[in-house]
Amino acid sequence: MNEKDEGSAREALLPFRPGVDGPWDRPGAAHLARRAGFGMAPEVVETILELGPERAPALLYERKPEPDGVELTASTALRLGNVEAAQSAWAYRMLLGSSPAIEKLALFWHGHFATSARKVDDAKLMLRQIELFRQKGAGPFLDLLGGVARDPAMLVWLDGNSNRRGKPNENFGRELFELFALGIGNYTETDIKEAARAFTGWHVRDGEYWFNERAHDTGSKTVFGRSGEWGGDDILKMSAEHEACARFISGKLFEFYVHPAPGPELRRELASLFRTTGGKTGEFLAKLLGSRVFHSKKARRAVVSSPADYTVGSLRTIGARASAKALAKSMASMGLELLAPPSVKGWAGGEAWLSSTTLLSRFGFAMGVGGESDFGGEPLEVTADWEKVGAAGPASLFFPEGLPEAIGGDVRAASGGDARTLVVSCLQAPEAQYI
Amino acid sequence: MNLTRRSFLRATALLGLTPIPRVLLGAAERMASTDDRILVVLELSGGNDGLNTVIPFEDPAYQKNRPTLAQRKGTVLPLGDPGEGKGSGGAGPGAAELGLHSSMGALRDLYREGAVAVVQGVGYPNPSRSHFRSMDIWHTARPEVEDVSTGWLGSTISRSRGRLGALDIGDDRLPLALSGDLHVPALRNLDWVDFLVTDKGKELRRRLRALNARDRVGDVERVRNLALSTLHDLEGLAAMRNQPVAVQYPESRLGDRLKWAGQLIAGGFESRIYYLSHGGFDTHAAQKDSHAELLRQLSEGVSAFHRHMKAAGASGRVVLLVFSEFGRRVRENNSLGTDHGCAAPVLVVSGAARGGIHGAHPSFDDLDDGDLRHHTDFRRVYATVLEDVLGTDPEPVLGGKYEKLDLLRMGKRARV
Repeated sequence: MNEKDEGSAREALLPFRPGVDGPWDRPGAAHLARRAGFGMAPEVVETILELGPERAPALLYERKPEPDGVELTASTALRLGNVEAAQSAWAYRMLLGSSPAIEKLALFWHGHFATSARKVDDAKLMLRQIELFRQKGAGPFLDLLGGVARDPAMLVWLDGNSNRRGKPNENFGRELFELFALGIGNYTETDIKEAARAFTGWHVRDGEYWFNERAHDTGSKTVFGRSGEWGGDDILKMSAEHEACARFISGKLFEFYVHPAPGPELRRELASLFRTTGGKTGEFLAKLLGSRVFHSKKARRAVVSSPADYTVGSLRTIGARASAKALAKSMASMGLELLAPPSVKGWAGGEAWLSSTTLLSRFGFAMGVGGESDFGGEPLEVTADWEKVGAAGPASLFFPEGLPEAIGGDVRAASGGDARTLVVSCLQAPEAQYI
Repeated sequence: MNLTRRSFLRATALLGLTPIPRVLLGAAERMASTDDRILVVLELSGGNDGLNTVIPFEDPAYQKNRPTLAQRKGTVLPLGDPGEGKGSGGAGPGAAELGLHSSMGALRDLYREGAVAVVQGVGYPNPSRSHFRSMDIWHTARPEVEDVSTGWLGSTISRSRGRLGALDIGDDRLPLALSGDLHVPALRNLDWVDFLVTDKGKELRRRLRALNARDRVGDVERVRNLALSTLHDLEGLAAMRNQPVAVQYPESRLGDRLKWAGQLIAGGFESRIYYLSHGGFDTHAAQKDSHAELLRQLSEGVSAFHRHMKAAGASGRVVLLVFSEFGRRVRENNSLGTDHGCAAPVLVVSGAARGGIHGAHPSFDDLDDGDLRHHTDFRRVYATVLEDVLGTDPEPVLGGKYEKLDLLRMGKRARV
């Protein structure tokens, strides 16, 4: 951030004032649509434009009834009990569900509390954890932590059952501090060992959380310099109230939703805002996504589109349907395999999404959307109202701020006016790798 | 077919893939007349149980700490007394009391040929038991600093000003070790190589050229360069694609990755550095069978790779370095597995290796909070390969002077 930005860190988080801080227009509404949810479906952009920058964010997080297909794909996955079906069910919901902003927030938490089906090996437990993110992801962070610490998939993932009195397993305690709540450098090895004791007996049995009293260590523990007969919930509370927590979570949300480089002043303000909302992520996001910094020039197209943004977002922008299975596989080929993050650290995100291989996968997906080729795996089976897409103009759908000069002529020349080809060109342009 | 770099370049130019990024062009031209030594780094991700890889099976402390996981005499593959077998394999302190895990027969044969140098007790001060932190340390060679964004190889590549090319054959993201100022290509999806010569592939190339014809600024310019260099690299790979392979690689992901590295090296691809990874070593629970399988894949893959290089007449200039972010705790846990530990052995495999055991096995009498203590800083291993294999001054890369180890029989080279 430059000096001026640093100096005005406090103002950066105040509500964006149309006409004073900049115009409130379609590009601005499209920016919010892309970041809060997936893509820029014209009707979503229109709604946001009408609601205005202050009211729109909160409304995006309201739950609406889901179409039947969402329930159907989820229950199919549960019946089949296989992880691939569960991945498809979530991809389906991202694409056709009623609340893309809630799905995106669930994806954020999935990357944060990164649990992988590779070890959990249970579609039902995995989907249940994602549902937890939908239910509690916008509420107080402590409630979410409580849910996660008792979540059966998490207990399997971080070896809850081998955490027993006298033989503590540090896996959950370590990740709680390092990756879930505080970030490295805000605790000691002793804190981890002691915290692990507090979670002894937090087990999973028959796919449910189970407090195994006999395995629980009731003795005194010292964590963050405070001694007491702490149980797991005490540790969670101490973590959520730790001064590092608000900083850690609010900074990570900012990098995910706004831009990758908040300065130290702004980070302090973010932490303070997060505390002011009582650690309620939904309230925090409603303010953040309506703020001046969110609508600043620096934030526009400043985030590398994740594979979910790229795939689901592109399809939503042109109002297309596609095979959910192929959609999930496409994301995986770009480095984001749903329900299977590469490690407990989640996905690195940002520039790490873009490598030779993943860029090729993106090019292949774009060709699939345009029906040019199903190269790269499972047929996408895209259906869209191409006439409508052609009438709206793919270039203005994907670049409401104006087609970048560098590709303007080339995109039009390459397409010969055909809507599908124009879509492929737009998606393959380097500019389209940012949201 | 042995495609020279110059003809490789011409071939790509003929296919109409212009503009060729200047960085790559310069690299290929310079390299045509200089060095041909190659470093292949193989990362075992998750923390390999070094104690059950190179095993002090005669030590009662080992047997005592590993009640269910210990490999016993008769099962373990003894490395043997010095002088046994051919070459210098078997030499080194304590080799008689050491053995390889029973699933590593292929690697033991290589050891006996003298092609494997085992560096014992490798680590760094104030070890971190976090996968991420420790892996970052191995990747950046900067244990004392956090948030370093340049890797030890990335820094080497940058300093070479294009003299050294690299290729990543790993998982879904570029390893930190290769991060630096210059883009390092990655190789995962090979179907593209065939696709690009079809009509649709040609159409795609035409369009991508048009979309990326003009200079951009900032982040978008980086993506543009990535798109262009990706296309360029694919063309080069296509030329290597149909090379016959003289040896049978094991059918595993690691085997496949090693095979690709072998094919590219044998085909004269412009990379001097290959980075491969092999995951699954975080064996907290019930590790007996899974760890044995991982080691078998490692052993068979590495053996096939070495034989391939030998058949291609390249084994004397190709050096494979195998490491993991840490070893595991000496005492097995209550889940029939092992938790995160510290020091572990590093393997160097090459026709030019000074085969044998380098350094003593870390003592069981002087543990660091239940973990083996390192006596050899990993940066000494890096210094060795940087200077001997890549002809690079290790000091600026490693941020300090680290004494080389006597692991390789390779003449000194002029530094760049």
